[in-house]
Amino acid sequence: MIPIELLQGWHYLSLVATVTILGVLGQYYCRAWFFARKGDSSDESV
Amino acid sequence: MIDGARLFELSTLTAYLGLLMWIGIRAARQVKTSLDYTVAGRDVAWVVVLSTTAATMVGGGASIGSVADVYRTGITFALITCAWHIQLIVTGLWIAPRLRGLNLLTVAEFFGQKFGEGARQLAVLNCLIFLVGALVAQLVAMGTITQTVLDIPYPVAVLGGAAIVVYYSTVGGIRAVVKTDVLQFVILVGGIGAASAYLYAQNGGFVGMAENVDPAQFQLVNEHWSGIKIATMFAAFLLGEMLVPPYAVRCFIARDSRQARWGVAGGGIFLLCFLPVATCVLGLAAQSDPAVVAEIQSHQAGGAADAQVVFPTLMRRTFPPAIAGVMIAALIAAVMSSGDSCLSCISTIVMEDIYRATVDRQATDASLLRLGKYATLCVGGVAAVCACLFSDIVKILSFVYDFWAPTMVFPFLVGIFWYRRERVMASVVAMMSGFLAALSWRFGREYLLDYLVAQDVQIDPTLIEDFQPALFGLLVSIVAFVITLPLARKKTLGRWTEPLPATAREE
Repeated sequence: MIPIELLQGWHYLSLVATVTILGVLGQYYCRAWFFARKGDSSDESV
Repeated sequence: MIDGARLFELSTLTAYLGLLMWIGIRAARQVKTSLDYTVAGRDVAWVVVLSTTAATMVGGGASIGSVADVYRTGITFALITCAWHIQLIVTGLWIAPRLRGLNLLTVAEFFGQKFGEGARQLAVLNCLIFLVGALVAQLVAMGTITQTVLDIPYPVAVLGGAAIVVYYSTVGGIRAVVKTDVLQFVILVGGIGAASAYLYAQNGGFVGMAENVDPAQFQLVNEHWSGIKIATMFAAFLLGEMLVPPYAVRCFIARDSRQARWGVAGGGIFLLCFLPVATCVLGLAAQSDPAVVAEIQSHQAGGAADAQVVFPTLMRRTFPPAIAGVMIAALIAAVMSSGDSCLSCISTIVMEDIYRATVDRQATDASLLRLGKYATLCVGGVAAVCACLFSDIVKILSFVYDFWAPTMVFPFLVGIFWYRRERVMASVVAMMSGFLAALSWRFGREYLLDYLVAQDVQIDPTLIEDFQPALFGLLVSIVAFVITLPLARKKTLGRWTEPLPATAREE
């Protein structure tokens, strides 16, 4: 039997990981957009 | 007549597909050289590498296929899929930085530089077998999902979806693929994550779900899963896709070795936290809702496969049309983001491994870029037509996944960690032995079993039936390497085993 507590903990970890990674990605693109608007393309990439 | 709910779903999907096309057109403006087209100018930040690696990893099999398998056989399957993500973590931490440092464009180039022309050609063949098989399989998956979800004819579903993927891959190359992958990653993770969190809460967590499903779903070993099957499938998942071109390219496109390491490993770490448990929740939630089970059974009675119906049915039954449209877009995103990576890798192989290496070594950058675009268009078109005409081809193509690990993985690791000139012959022998062993085991194990039964040999048949060809071939390739190594230290096959010089490029 696979312990249910393990699965529960894993589920909460997955939520934290999802919110974190989407936040980091959003912050990266906001910065890239900001630098692109200022005309400095050094921080903009794909 | 289209009802309001369907119109909502279709509008959401159309907006999503329109956004993909727009991103592709914008990315095309940044493509000035063949390096932009094949490795995005080697200027991709780690978080973008992470997103594109994760989006590429999660294809039709890892999303809808896994949910359907958990629904049918229990959560053991989700635990086995951890091997995919562990593989990415290992690749990222220890292999990606070294690969990025070599400034390569293709996997075959690595084999040429380490083991010579013979290994390079064998690598080109293996890459093409894997990529063409995976591309057609993803297009078929895209067609069957779209056909089931939107209730449109299969050829329209395949050709419509493929036209969008081929369009943005042709005009923007890997730059468009990476940019669209980021959008696909957000929709995929946001959609699957939100659905999983909502269903988890709605069903009272795992405790609530455990009360409503068959207790065998929570057992590691049950009627679907023997110990040997779990062990060999875990090993096959761990090694079966290690260093395949779509992942290797994610190492090549990063800004530097550090960004390659944390991009690829980060993708694996994130997926290990996220995907197995999300597929567990979705599979168990589908099984704990009698209305969903009844609808899935009615679809199955009409001849639909589990993978086609479990996830879409769960989404339709759980969410209102606009949100269900986003969730279904997430499924299509999963398949498209894996298919476009295969297409981009095939075009790079045509440009670099076939045209530049064997037809015209002095090819100009402009001619290579033109060739890459034509190659993407033609290969994508032919793959779409094949997926359209032969939808059963997926069953035949499933065997292509058996050949990568036996032929490529062990020599790849030798080339990276344990390379010496006197090990070249043994590595080439290991490649050939692994390929032939996987082929023989794939098609010959039934005859072996019949022979053993005829000879009255007492053996558990599952030991042979459940032993994965990829793993068998890999073991044979390691054994062949160990035996050949002391015998062939000073032997060569002339230019076939003479390591090739690195290709000179302006970077």
